[in-house]
Amino acid sequence: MDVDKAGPGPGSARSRGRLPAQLRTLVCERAVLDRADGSAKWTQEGSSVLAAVYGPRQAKLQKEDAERAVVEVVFKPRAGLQGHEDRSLELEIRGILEGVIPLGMFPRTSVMVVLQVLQDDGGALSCALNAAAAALVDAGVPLNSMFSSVSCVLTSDRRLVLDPDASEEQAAAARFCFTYPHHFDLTQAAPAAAAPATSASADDAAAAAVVGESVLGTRCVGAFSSDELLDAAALCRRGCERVAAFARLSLAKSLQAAGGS
Amino acid sequence: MAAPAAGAAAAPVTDDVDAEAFKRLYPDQYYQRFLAEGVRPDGRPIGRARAVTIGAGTITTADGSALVKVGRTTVLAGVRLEIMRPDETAPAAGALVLNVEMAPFSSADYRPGRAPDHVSAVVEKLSSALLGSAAAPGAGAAAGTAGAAPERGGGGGGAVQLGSLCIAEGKAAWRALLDVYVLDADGCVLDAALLAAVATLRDTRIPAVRNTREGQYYAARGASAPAAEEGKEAGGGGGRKGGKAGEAGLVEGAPTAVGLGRLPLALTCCLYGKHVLVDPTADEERLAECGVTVVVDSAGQLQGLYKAGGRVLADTATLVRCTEAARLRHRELSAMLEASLAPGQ
Repeated sequence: MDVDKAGPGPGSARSRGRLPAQLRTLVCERAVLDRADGSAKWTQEGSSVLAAVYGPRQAKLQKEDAERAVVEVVFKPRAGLQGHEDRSLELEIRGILEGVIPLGMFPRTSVMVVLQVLQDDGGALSCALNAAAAALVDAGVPLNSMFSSVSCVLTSDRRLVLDPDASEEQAAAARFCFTYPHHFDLTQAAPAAAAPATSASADDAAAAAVVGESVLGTRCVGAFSSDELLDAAALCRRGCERVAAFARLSLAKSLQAAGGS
Repeated sequence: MAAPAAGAAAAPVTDDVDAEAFKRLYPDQYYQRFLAEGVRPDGRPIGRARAVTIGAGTITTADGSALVKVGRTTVLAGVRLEIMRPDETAPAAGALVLNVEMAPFSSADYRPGRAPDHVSAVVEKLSSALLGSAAAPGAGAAAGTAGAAPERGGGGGGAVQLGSLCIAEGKAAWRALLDVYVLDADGCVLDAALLAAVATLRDTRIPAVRNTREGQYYAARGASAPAAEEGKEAGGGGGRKGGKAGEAGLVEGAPTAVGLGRLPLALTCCLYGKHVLVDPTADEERLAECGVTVVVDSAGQLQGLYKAGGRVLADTATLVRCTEAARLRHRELSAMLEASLAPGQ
């Protein structure tokens, strides 16, 4: 699928001239909350989610498990009470986190992740998962692998468009959200190995993000065919590479800032 | 089957360990022994789904009903129709109100008070399959039991065509109250609930509508034949687009069945190690903790794909396998559905 070409024309171009495979501007702030063990605020231009991680801490007796940690997720929508969709998303996010956190390392504890949607302009689930990933790193919870999430939609003229905003989501024939695990391959160092110390952080960031072939979690709703599903999976995987690279860059910068002060 | 516990290799085993005890103590080893042979504890091959029984029209007091059994999972669904005034934003559409409840005896995990989490997941996926994702995220109101806010307007590609529930545009339309009761939750509750909901909607027979002189519409239940005759005598009362005020009698052209555009049916597979177990029971679901649910419609188009649980990653080959299994299952189930609905009609 040719998704890197520019939009077909002024009539059907995306808002602000975004390309079909272009992500929105990503911003990640860490250590936003004082009381939480870890917190992060992830913004994708119009959508913003605040994640707070409490744990691993002692679990309540009714909820504890003698052999592993218990992951609790609370997903609060931007406005109103929690509905069925929110509780369903909690279940899905919990499933993804259970796959990524080594639960057997902390028996009888609980890891609580609270996600609050601050602004919703499309792709809230992806935003929440990315925020959760950043918050878990901020809390220092060990993880089997990092993960990143990206949404895409199938427009009514059967074209795939990455990182939709709310109007694109409403008008879409199908919505996809894929979460992929990723790790960094430090053996592929940048060629400027003898560069001065100031570019050491650039070296770090240049380590290639390797996104897994297999999906951690997915949520696809609408009317689509198997081919469109596979195309969406491939497109989201490419988007996840960019999110992974950004997340590492943002983490490196915040650690540098913390180390410098 | 008498099998010694896997860890007691050194000590002499004098008693035969009960299979049930082995299953509880070492569930992973218990299942591995079966999967090594390519079967599951209930005797099914890995890729086979459970037998399905569909009983349509079981509840005579409801306008439509169906009792569905998938293996031991039992779901009862019923539809009750009432006349309402359509919303101004969608004057030619009816409404479908979905309510899903799990009976206390349905599963061992039931706790009084807050409904279990998977009920919300079932409600959300069911309403998305039947009504489409037209509602904005988070628009569902939290109810005491697992009810969903009434959805209006037939947008977003849902299966139920709400326009088919209209009696007189802007004046009267049908509101279908669809209740789904899960009587026994033994795995794949969503699949059974969706099948029951679809069977109920297909089984629903909408009663005739009569209107009074003042323009009030009411359902004429249990008097279909004489009402039709009276209608003819009264000179064919109100037309479809709202009768003239002051004309009483039978409303002609009112809908008789709920329009179901495409038939959405679901299949859940759980991923356990390298195996893809089709249509797992509750024990298998708990063990694997990782499942892929695929919702397909009659044209072979996918309507939803959900992968929950991150313990096992799913590559594209696995996803394709699950969608193919779902398509096969759809063919099988829709044939069975037609067969169970045919004699009644």
